Amino acid sequence: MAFVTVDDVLCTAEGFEERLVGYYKALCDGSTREGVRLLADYMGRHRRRLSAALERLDPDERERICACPICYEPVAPDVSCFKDRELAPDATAHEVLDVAIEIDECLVELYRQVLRQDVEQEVKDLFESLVRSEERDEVVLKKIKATDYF
Amino acid sequence: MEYLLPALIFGGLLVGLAAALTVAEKFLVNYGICKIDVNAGDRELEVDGGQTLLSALNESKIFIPSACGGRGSCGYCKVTVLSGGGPVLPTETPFLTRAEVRSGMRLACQVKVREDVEIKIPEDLLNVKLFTAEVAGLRELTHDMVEATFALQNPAEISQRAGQYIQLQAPSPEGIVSRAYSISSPPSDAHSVQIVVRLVPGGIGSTYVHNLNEGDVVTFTGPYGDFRLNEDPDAAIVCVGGGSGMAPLKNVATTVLEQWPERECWFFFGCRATGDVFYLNEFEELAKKHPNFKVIYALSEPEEASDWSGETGFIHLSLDRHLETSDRKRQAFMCGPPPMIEAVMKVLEEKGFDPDDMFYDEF
Repeated sequence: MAFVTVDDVLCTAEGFEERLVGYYKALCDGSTREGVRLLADYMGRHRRRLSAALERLDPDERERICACPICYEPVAPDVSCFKDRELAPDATAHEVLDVAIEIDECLVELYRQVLRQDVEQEVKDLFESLVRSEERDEVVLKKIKATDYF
Repeated sequence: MEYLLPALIFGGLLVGLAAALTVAEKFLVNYGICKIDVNAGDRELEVDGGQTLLSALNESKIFIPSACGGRGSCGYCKVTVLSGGGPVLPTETPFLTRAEVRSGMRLACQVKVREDVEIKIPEDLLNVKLFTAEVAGLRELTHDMVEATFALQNPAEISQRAGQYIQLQAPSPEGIVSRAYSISSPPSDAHSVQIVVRLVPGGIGSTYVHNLNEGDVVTFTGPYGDFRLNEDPDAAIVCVGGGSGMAPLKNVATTVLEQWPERECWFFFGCRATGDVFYLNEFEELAKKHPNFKVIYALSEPEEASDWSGETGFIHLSLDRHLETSDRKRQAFMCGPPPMIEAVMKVLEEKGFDPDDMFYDEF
């Protein structure tokens, strides 16, 4: 049984977010479609929701929460865009949005793995807030897709 | 299996306990009558304790905007709670900035009324009404866009500012939900409300509107929204829309031309292909009557075989080409997806627009 802390999970999520920012940047630089470049640039700049959530905590509270133990190490997100489904340079905006929605769903699942465990209320609050942020973003992405603008 | 069974039993017990606590709070805990003080004595409400602030205000005919039916997923129902709201919940924090939390802002759907509460809301919200109306007209604009006109029944008149929106009540498997739609008809038409709705596969509100028939009765609350048209006729107006973001801009442009026929007004609209174009003929007719009304449509992916003679590319690029850099008084109104609005705002700032003179409505 692996014992980990909240900080370990947050590091996993942060690393994931960093890879995503890089992924969107590469998409923005490499796409042949202006709409995809606009979208990827926007999504890359609005991706860092974890740091936004942590900034809402005061430093002492943040330190205490990060040190809290978690019994079972959550399974890290496994997203197709990083392996078997690299998008082609001419991928459409809809394909890009589908990947972005999948990413949100993966992060929601990561955070829910913590919420399913017996953790302190402050930890629950932080991860509940992160789940809400990702779910909110998912709704925004679906709405962008529905506008059919890009 | 020997590990799974105890885990299942324990999990089941926890779920059962949570359900029992919820039922117990609903039926056994009596918070009695609680008072809600709105805007320092403007309104004093007496409500049954235990319900959410959003429900309590709705019951008292104070309609706070909300698009998710109180599930805490839209973040629209912000009110300032000065006392009695309890601590901010994790379900609220993604929707609130630190400054908002410090000022007492909360999501009304997440605040339980368990004691007397003091709140502050924008004065405009006290004028929001519940309307019933009959579907007087349905017009197909494109393969997935419809214009719906509602003739007001009760009340029979609406007082709106150009660019405001309504919250249409639509049936769903989970009960009635509200969906926000901007009003496309101008304030001069006080007896009806027109909206423009794109069909979103699986969308509750858009499916409802697309399935309406003439003569059906609908209910909605409104008007809501912060768009404020500058009354100075020398201030030029710039409207920029994309995708399905049309309704509030049509309202603004129509109102401007009705009230100030000579006023400078630009209308930019971007979409992908010729099949997505709508209202272009109407605007071109208006432009013939109003020489200072400029209409620019741009397609980002025009079909090769089409006879499209208008502009191509994304709409912020057209804006960049046509607008001059100036420090004169101008106002901009935008409606469309957030990345489009960001791109447009960047161009407007480069052109000298004051951020206070930019209004936008996402989606």
